Amino acid sequence: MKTLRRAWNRFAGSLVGQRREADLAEELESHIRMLTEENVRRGMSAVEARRAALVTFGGVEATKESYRDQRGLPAFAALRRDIRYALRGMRRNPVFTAVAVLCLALGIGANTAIFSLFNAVMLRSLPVSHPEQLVFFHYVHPDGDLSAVRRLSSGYGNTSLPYATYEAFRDHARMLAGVFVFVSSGTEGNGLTVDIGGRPLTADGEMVTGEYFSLLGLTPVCGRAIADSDLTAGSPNVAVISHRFWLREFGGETSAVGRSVTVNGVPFSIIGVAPPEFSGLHGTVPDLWFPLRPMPALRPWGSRAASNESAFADRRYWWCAIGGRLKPGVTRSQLLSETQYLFRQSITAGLDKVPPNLPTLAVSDASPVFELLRRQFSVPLRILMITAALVLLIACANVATLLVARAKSRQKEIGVRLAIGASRARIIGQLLTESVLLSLCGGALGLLFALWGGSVLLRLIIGTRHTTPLNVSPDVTVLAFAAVVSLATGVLFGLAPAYRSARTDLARQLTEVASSTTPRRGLTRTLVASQVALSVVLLFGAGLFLRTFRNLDAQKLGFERQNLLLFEVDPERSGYSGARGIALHNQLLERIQRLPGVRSVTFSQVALLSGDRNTSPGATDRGALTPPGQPDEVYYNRVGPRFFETMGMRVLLGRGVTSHDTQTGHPTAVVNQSWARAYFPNENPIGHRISVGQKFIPQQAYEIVGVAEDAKYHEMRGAPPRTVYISYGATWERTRRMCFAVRAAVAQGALAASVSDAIRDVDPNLPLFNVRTQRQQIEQALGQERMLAHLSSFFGALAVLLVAIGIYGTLSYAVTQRTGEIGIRMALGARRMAVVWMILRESLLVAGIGLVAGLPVALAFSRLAASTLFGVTAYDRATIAATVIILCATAAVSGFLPANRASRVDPIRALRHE
Amino acid sequence: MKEKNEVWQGTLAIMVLRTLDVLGPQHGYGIACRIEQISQDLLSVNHGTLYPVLLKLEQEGSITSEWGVSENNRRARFYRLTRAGKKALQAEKLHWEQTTEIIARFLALESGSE
Repeated sequence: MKTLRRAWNRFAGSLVGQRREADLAEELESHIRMLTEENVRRGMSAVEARRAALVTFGGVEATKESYRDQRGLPAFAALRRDIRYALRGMRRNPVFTAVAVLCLALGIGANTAIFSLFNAVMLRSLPVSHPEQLVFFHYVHPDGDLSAVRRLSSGYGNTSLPYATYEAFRDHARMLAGVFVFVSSGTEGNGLTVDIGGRPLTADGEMVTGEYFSLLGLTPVCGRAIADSDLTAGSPNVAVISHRFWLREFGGETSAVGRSVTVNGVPFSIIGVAPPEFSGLHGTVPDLWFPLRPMPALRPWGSRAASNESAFADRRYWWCAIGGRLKPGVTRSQLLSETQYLFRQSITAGLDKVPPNLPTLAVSDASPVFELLRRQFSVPLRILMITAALVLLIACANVATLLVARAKSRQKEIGVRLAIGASRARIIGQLLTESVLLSLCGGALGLLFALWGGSVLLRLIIGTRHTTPLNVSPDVTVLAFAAVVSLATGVLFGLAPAYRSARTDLARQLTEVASSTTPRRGLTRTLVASQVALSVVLLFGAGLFLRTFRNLDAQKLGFERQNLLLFEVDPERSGYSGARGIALHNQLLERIQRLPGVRSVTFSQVALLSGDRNTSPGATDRGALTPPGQPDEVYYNRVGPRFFETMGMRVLLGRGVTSHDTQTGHPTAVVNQSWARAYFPNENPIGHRISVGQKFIPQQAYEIVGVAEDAKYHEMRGAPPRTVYISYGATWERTRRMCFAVRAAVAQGALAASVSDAIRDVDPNLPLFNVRTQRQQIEQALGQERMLAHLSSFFGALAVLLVAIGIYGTLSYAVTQRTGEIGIRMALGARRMAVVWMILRESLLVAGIGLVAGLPVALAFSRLAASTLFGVTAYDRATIAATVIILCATAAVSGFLPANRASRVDPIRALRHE
Repeated sequence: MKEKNEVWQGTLAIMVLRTLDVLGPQHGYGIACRIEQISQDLLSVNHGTLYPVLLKLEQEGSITSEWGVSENNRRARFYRLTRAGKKALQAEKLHWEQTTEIIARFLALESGSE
């Protein structure tokens, strides 16, 4: 208690002002006067009395010092003094301060920006209450046949489970505080057609059960959330809209609640608005939430159910994504053992015998999408973080050399302070305060860079097409990271120069006039060499990534990518079906073909290089193509007339798909070279027939009419797969979403607008979406590689710049130090070239050491990143050569300028310079 | 150096507290004179060293101070023992007595033959 009280008083005392000082002086003076009076009484003279009083009292200043130390916190006071002194020093050397702070800002800012990205992807959790209690279910299945318990056509991957499982968990899982289902309506960006007062647009939706909002702890901004009562059959069609959708389409008016919108032709009334920071549990961000009950118009679960009533009752149809909240104190493994049993029951109930090799349930905590994102970006993010850290190290080395140079000019000052009685620890402390202050300023500036750069980075990585649940706005973690990195940086680059400065030999410093001997340069040399070494790593990496990107981009795709406009329509959502839908596509083709500037137009089910693909087993009139149980190796694409002509793909044998084929419903197919080589080696496949599916169905077979050149399908890397292009228009086909491709005669900006008008002519209720060019599509596909190439080049250039500054700075300083020596040499007859070479030799030597040290490290790092490379090996010789040349050139150029200056030294002035 | 100072400050603190206990409110000069007087010049300290000790005691809450007028009509700062200070003095007194008792026993041992 006493210590606490004393500590508080001392803290308060450290902030006290001048008044207390005056009081103390007065008190001490009055004490001394009383002593003086006593002495006078004893018989001394006035002067003697005062002198004796002062002796008895002791040193007044010493007393005041002890008093002050007791009153305040001496360490704290010292820190304040150091900081004020450091700030004065920074103001007196504005150029030095500016360069140092800028270097640090670039280094720290880069690290913070990338860390905020890392934070958004890897560290942040969902903006719901207690996200650590949330669990999501998926299944794991051994290789083998699941068809006994699961329909082939059901749901999405392994996160979809039967509705019966949800019911089992809801009714019997005691370890769950609650469980909910969420199912996407449609897929990314083109799930639903929403009509608000006559204006159609596309939106994403999600169907959820009544507990979804309450379990996640989400309170609507206005209105109410979906509840159990909305799920009963016959209750009105209601929807909750997302905050972003609300702002965009309704301007944030509360009158939106209660309004009616049409979704895929069915009227819904809006009952509430979701809170702003919530963006769903999927990769796609839902704009609307609906109650989970049979509503065929909403096309849940992507593919088709036999009839959607049965989707709820059919145990073999797996389409529900199930999540839940753990009861407090329950672990995931405990939950798993309980739910495993319930899951098994739910999928095998009603079967006569339980098949072997059943899938097993698994429980995870992160929602499925974060898993996907994390896996996707884990490697590039780590590469980026290492790169940024290297840049920061180079910046540190740079500032350290600047500090060392500056410290040399402060030797006298430090010498004097040591002589007066400062301890070396205090000197080091003060120098460290200066460097930490520099790095904190750099860090603050860097944080600004990062704030601006973070969102740019995110868009580079994710691409502008997709909405994302990621949020890179800085939070406490990022700020803490920036602060820690700034502090650590300050200590890191400040320690060595501070230690060196404080170790000076006092006598030498104060008496020495000018040193004509060369000053110790070991530390600076090491620093510059390490900068060069780190730059080698960065440049080499940048070279590899640049070449990877170039190689990928320059590949032959098998089709023409220029002047190709892409967009998609989904007639089914506007009420088309069957033959009407197919006819619509052909109508659109005709209408668009007539537009001026359009060379040709076609459509396909899958847009090339969009990442989507369609694989399936297939069979020809000769038998199945792939043995059962093996992965599908054949890719399919349903295409319209003039597909090959529009896309610029060469047809080598036979012909392409024509409008005759699609309009008469005479199904034809064109295969690519790889397919022909694989299944009809050394023969002509034309004339044979092929059908989709494991077994050959003659009534639904396509006649092969041509063989086309190989072309890329869904990804830029990898060889073109075996592809079959089948004509779209057969009688057994249903209405599908199609991607249209319009080949323009020349690049046209207004083409999209005129196409949109043309479509509106055909049907005003048919929205087109996902409008982009093929080139943009490819840019998207190469997003990661492009980002890595651009960022690593940026960092590489930054590193080279820092190295140049470092070499120039240290050599300039060395020249200044050695002016006397150079003067003597020139007076003795040294030629200019010799002097230039003498200085330049320094810089080349240091660069050489750095290169030799850095190359093995660079090669080691590139081995790690080998999986991301394309068309270059990790030990690519050309890139190594380029790196060496660039760095040598940098060293030569930045060293030449001071060397040149040295050679212009006037010997007489130099000798007098002493 | 530091250690000696701390021990010294400790004993000086007790002397100050006891002085204030006996004499009542006093100014710095008065306390110093009294200490000199009681210790009968066995102790000759610089009066200045009193002030940090007074401040420490004030920070701990054992004494309080205020400006007043001395016997010679001089303005001086007077120090006064608080209730907490009285308790602290009692505790210190007990502590000292125990300490001297223990040390005395040890020192007495030496002259014995066991």
